[in-house]
Parts: sequence; structure tokens; C-alpha cells
Amino acid sequence: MDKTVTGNIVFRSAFSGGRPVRLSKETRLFCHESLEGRYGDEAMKTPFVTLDDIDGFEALSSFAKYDAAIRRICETAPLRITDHELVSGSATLGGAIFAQVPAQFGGNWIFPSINHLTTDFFTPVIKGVDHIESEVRKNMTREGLSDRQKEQYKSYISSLESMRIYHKRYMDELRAKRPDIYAYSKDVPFKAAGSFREAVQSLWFVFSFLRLTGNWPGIGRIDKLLGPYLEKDLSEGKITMGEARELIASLFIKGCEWVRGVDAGRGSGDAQHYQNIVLGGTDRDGNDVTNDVTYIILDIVEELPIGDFPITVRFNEKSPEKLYKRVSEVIRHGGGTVAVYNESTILNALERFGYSHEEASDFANDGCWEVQVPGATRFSYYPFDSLQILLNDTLKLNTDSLPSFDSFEDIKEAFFKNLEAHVDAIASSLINGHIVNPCGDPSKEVFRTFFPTSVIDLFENDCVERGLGYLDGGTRYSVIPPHIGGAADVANSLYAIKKLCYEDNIVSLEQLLGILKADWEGDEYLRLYVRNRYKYYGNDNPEVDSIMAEILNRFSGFCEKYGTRHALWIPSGVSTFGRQLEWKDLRFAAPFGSKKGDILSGNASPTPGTDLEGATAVIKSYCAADLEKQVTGAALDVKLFPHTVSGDDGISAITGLIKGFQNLGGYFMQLDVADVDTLLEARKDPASYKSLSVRVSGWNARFVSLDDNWQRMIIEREAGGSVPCE
Amino acid sequence: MRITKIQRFSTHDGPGIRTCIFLKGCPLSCKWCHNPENQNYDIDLSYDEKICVKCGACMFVCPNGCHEVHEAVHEFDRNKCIKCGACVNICPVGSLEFVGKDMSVLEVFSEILRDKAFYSENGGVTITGGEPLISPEALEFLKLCNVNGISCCFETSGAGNPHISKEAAALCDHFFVDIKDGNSERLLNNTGGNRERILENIRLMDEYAKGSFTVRAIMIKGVNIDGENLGYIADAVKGFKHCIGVELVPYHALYGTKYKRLGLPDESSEEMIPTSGDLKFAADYLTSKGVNVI
Repeated sequence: MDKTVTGNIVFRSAFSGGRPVRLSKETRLFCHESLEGRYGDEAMKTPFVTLDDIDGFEALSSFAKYDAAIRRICETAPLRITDHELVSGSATLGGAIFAQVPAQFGGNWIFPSINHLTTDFFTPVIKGVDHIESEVRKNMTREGLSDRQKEQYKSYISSLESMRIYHKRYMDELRAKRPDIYAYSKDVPFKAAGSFREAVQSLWFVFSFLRLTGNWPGIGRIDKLLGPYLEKDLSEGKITMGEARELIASLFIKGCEWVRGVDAGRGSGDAQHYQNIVLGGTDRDGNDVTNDVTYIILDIVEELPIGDFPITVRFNEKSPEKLYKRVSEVIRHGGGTVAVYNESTILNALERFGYSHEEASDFANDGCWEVQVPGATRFSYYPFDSLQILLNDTLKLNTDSLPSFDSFEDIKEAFFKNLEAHVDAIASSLINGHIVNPCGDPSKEVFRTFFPTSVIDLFENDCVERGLGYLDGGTRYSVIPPHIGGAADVANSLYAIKKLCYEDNIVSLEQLLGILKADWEGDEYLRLYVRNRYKYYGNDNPEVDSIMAEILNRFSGFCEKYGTRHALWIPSGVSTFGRQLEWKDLRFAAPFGSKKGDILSGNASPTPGTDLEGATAVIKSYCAADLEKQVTGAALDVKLFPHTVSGDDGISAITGLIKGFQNLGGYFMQLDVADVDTLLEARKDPASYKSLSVRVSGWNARFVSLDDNWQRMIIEREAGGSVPCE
Repeated sequence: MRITKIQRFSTHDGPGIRTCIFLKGCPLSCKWCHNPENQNYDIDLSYDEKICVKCGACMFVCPNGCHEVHEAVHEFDRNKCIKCGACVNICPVGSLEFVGKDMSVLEVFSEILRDKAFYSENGGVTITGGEPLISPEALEFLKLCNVNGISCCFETSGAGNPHISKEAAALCDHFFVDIKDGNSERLLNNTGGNRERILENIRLMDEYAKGSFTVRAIMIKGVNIDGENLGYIADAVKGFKHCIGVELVPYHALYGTKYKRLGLPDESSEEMIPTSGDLKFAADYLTSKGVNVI
């Protein structure tokens, strides 16, 4: 547990040296309360506002319904000003925690949330929301607007009015209760921030407004945004580093306000609201932006076990040595709070696909780790299971017929044909589902209309200028990549077929397919043999890694047929995000010794239990593919045991892994330091492990908030393929 | 080179990420040896009962009837075994395996290059064992690494060949050397080592050292945690020019299963594990003599 020893809070760590203490007792207490679920539980008492009293509500237009909902939320959502906070504004309606605009009519939700995006926080903080409003007013008087555009602009004005109502309610309370916060809250986010304190408050207030109204944005490059404000205020003696740390810590702790107690319903984790943060990296001129804010944030997550803002650090050739050291020091506390982007691979991937260098340089993520241009991208993705394609379409395990192949190469090519057909079907359905009369000339194509998203649109570039919503082609880019899942399992399966049936000639393909249909029943010796005697993906074995590389490369080639040819862009990416749990019962046994119901590989990581050569071999296998072709990303999960990274040697080991990952052309890597015994203890005694955070996939979650299946998946991943005795 | 294991991503055998090469064979025979598979130069056949699934496949292929598997019990008669490898090849889970493999210097070198991308500024290769400094090929290997700019370390019992030891010291950025006991009689009885010869060897390595070195002192309760051993270590260390300090290595009993796998009696004893008080005594003793305890 987070032990309370004589009133001092001790936050759990996987590192035997424990976490440092830099923040004030009050801030640490605030964090403890928040992570215990106090505010999340409170939000569940007021899950939504109701619009039942509005006469003729059902007959209103979508925009009018949306505007009424946003206004009602801003007028009546409970305010929360806590004793120890230093930034104000709260998302106090519990419905938002479940990805809904927290308003109901007749007992039903009206609009879902927008997530998987990072909105533009630079414009509201640097120029102010007043600037955005002036842009709305300028554009809404243009000639030739359609009726829908006119309605859209009216909705923007309404959303801005609602935001002012919400702001005024806070100011009325703060003026008397917390004059200190009032001083730097009263003008922002409407005016441009003039100080570091105003910039932090402005950022938080916009973020909390977006969340209050049900959206889940990421924050993106927070150090790039706030660093110049801090530098100026420090040089003018307006703030100290200690004060700045307390302020940003408050923002981080406020970001945990959706954390609920352990008795809350469980699922895929309670901290996955996509509020990701990106640190470091270069700007448009190629200068590294790492600054004091970068290090303050690393200080904070080193001290407080906050996983609700998953951090990804952009490493590049110019990254300072200090950044490697500090990131390594934070990683060894466990929890997977800090992950790594290799900037050079990502910039090349984005530019090769069609983004300009300038926009590519701005990249952040969508809330998990998929890369996008923040504030300019409508994003979602289309996941699919490539192992089912191999087992069903190619090997026909779901039919009574037997496929016939002349060679191993024949099987592989048949699989690629099936994979291509699958990608074609996905791409057509995406294009036809989003664009009216697709013609292949993006400038002439028109998006279908969905539901209003005006609050989001205000913070997404081009929506205001175009008078079009986030889902309706308003953003500069609309991007939906197919994401291949189970690729490592396909590579392992093909490799096992090659060895068993064509090289070592242990069984014929026909025999093997029969065995797989029977789920290895009666063939346990062969199953163990194939499972243990061959070195699969994740062991730096070029024979199988080349198959994995070919799968990923061919897949991206199939997506390239569509690429940027339509107004809806279709790049490629690799992910499962835990879907290996959903897929496990839909898959037959696989040729590399897995049985029906086994939890197999996640993202671009090895199948649990098959990587035996350590972290460097895992990274080498992953980097064998040309990852610049996976435009939106390919995530690698690497597990490390606390002992492996203890002491000063551990710091240089983690740094070495990150640099090796860069040298070899990796894309995204999360390093998770986890002790299986601790996870098993947490299963038995969740109340004592409330703040134990683990990296699930693109997000972190408190371990105790995961349901049984998800907990088992994490433990199997960390233990290397099986859940040890409990 | 006779190798038992090439271990990638080693993080506590020298600075940075290192690939550890374990060489087979050691002139000492410590009673508490934690790596018994590396003591004997001959290639061994190891049987791991813990992962054996008792499938009986070995029983069917063994030409001499060494394996008997009945009702989930596997009996392995090593006296009849001719190490033909039939059982090793058929075992589906790798519970039977040869320990030791002969590889050329170039083969080992190409293996360690696999992680070159991770060695960064301070990582590299560590040769260990067994006793690596009895192998002329190990020295050739270190030279090859040096020529190619790969940082090298070694771990030695101090009982290596003096000619190889001094040359290795001149090639490596850091090394670890054991001082197992300062009582010469105990040392001889427990390890077969000669205290004076080992000290002379360490002095030689110190004289030729390219970089620094660490003295590792194993701490065994009831054997060597006393003023005599610690005083000897402190005196010795004071005379070295390149030693950065002493690392106390507590005895542990986890190695016992390794003996079982080799068919040897497990003489590990939990009673020999030092308490934190014992380790504090040792650390304080050395510190009071001006020794840096790492």
C-alpha cells in the first residue's frame, strides 16, 4: 500500500531505493486523496445533467440539442475547488468518464465523446480563446455559407458562451475562496497568457472544459508550450523552480480526478482517458525543445505514481544526456509512466507518407501512442486480427476442406493475397463510410456528416475556418489507418510450418492442420516440441524476424494503394491494444504451439513466453522491419525486472536500451519494470495496492481497476507466458 | 573457446549493457561455487527435473537405457551415459541439454556483435566463467574486441594464468577480481587456491591495468566473515593502484539446483547465508580501515 507512516505518505515503487520527496506535504496529500479515488467517486454521484425539462427537445436540430446540452452542463455542473489545488476547473460529471457528453434526455445519452485526438492547446494559451472567437465571427459572415455551416458557426458561438458561463461560475467562487488562484485565473483562457502561472491555468482550464463536456483529448507537447513562459518568469524572478513544480504537480493531480475507488466496476483500466503527454523532441527548425518544464514533469512522475498522464519522450540525436538519465531514473520506479519515441523514424515515416516537414515536426499522439499532427487531425483506427486471416482464410481451419500448397512460399503468398483482400475491404468500407461519391481527387471529395462536436472543433485547426465539424472533414487531416494485430503470431506460425513441414519434415502440412483443428488434443509432445525447440519472433532470429518484417512491409504496401489518394487518409499501423483478449476465443490453435484460448502477442511485441533472449534481442527482432512504413506507429512492450535495472548500472542499462532502440530504427517502446510477485499480491489484496500503476498498452491503469482477464494478461506478459501459482 | 553460455543484456557485470561470455573450466574448486556448470572443463549433460514433462521420449531413444520414466518419475543413470546426445535432441522442452560448446574466437566475436547497437558509450563484453584467464583463446578474443573498439571487462578468481592475466588487464576497461579468503589454510581447504599466488597475480594485473578494477569478496557465514579475512582484504587493497573498492557479495543458496541438474550432491546451506548484521559488520570493518565499500 501507499504506507502512511506517522502521517508521511510513501508512494510505492518497483525501485528498492524508493521515490524521492521534493513536493510539499499538502501536494503529496492531495495526490494521495486523488489516487484513492475520492474525486472520481464524487463525480459518479453527479453523472449527467438532464434536459428533460426542455419543451420540444426531440424536435430540435442536432446542433440545437448539442448547444443546449453544453450550456446546461456549464450552467449546472458542480464546481470543485479543493484545499490544496493550485489550478482550478474540474470535470465533475461522471458520464464523461464513460466517453459520453454527460447530458441525458428521457434517460438516454444524447451524444458520444470524441477521443483519440490531441487538440491544439497552443492557440488558446498563447493567443487566447478571444482570438478563436474573433476567428469564428470573422468566418461566419462570409458569403456563400451553406445552411449547415451557418448552424455550425452559431453552435461555435453558443459553445464559447457556455465556456464563459463555466468560467464565470468559477471566478465568482475563487474570488473569495482562493484569491491566489483567482489572480492568475480571471483573464485566462480568454486572454493570452502573460505569465507561467497564467499559462498553466489556461491550459488546465481548456483541458477541463473539454473533459467536462465529455471529450478525452491528449495534451501533447506540454514542455514546448510552457517552457518559454517558465524561462521568462524564472529570469525575471517571478517564480522559483520549486513553485513551478508545485503548480504543474497540481495540474497532474487534478488530471487524476476521474480515478475511482477500488469498488468501482472494473474493465480495461480506469486511467485510459487518452490524456497523453509528449516531452522533448525537435521543433520545426530542428532545435531540441527539452527545457526546465521537461525536467519538472519527470521530477513529478518520479515522486508521484501518477499514470493518468502517460508520457512519451521524443528522443533524437540532439537529446541531452541528462534527459536519458532522468527518463531512465523514472522508468525504474515501474508503472510504465514514461515511454519512448524514436523521432527520426517517425519524422521519416510522416514525411514519406505525405506530411510537410513542418507539420511532421509537430507530431504528438492521439491519446495512446499513434502519431498524429495535433490540433489538425481527425483520427481513429480500424483494428483487425491477421492470425484469424491466416488460420481461417489461408489454412481453412474453419472449413472441412483442405488447402493445397506446393511449397512454403506458396502458403506465404496465399496469406498475403488474403491479407490484401482484407485491407481492400477495410479501405473501401472506410472510404465509402466517410466520403460521399469518392472520386480520388481529395479536393473534390465531401465528407458525410455525423453529429456535432463544436467544443472540439474550436480547438482543432481549420474547423473554424471551414465551418465544418471534426467528423465532417473540418480538420486539416482525416486519418483512419487499418491496424494489423497478431502479426507476430502469424510470423511464428509461418516459421513453425516452414520448420515442421518443409525443413525438419516432422509432420506433413495436412497432418499439422488436422492437429490444429483438434487443438493439439493427443499431440502434446509435438506441441511442446514446436513451442520450445524453435526460436520465435523476439529472439533476434533472422529466419523468423524476416518473416515478420515481410508481413509488416507487405501490409503497409497494401495500405499505400490508398494512402493519401482520398480526402480520408489511409496509412498503416500495428496495434492490438489488448484486443488479443477478445480474439483469443475466436482463434484456432496456431502452428507454433498455442492452443485455442491462449492470450497471444500484443501490438508489435513477441508472443508471451516465446522471447527468451532478453530485452536487446526483443528490440532487435522488432527493428528488423522497416518501421518507417508504419506511419501511425508500431508499439513494442519490453518488460524488465526490478533487479535488472537496480543501481547505477540499471540507469546506464535503460539508457543503453533507449539508444540501441534509436540506433536500430525503432518507433515506440514502453519499458515496464514490474515485479510479478507484487502484481500477484495486488490481486489478493487490492485495497492495499490502489495506486499500483501498470502500462496496459497505449495507456496506464491502476492494476486493481483491471478486470480479471486484463490482470491475467498483464501478469502473463510480465511473467513470460504463464500466470504463476497464486 | 569452450563456452557454457553467452548471456545478452547483462546489466551488473560491468558498466552499461554487456554481453557476458561464460567459459568452462576453473583451476579452483570452491565448495560454495555458484556456477558449478563452469567448474569442470569437460562437456556435461544437464537434466532439469523442474521443466521435464516426463513424456518418456528420452527413454525410447537412449541406446544405453539411461533414462527410466514411470508414473511421472524420471530416473537418469549417469553411470551408463555416453553423452551421445540422442536424448538432448528428442527432449521437447529442453530439460536435457549439453553444457559446454566449443566455438572459435571468430564465432564468439560474431555473437557479441549482435548487441553492438546497445553497447553505447560504456557497455560491451565481459568474459567470465569458470576462470576465463586460463584460456589463450580468451585473450585472443579480448584483443579482437579491442581492435574493433568494443569495451571489455573480465571477472576472475585471481587464479588465472599470470601471463594471460596481465595481458588481459592491459586490454580491459575494468575488471572484477575475487579475494575469497585471507586465511591461507581455509582458502586451500575450501577452494584449492594458493593465497600468495593469487595475491601476486592480482598485483600483476594491477600493475598492467588499463582501467580500474573492483575486488569482490564473497561473504559466507561461519566461514570467512571475520577480522582475519577482512583485515587481509583491507591490507591488500591499500597496496593496489587501480582498485576502486570492494564489493561484498553475500553467499546465497539458490545455486543448489544447478548441482542437482549436473547429478552432483547439493551442499548449499541456508545457514551460510550472511545476515544483514554480518554484512554491516564487514562493511563497517572495511570502511574503518579506509576501504571504499561499493
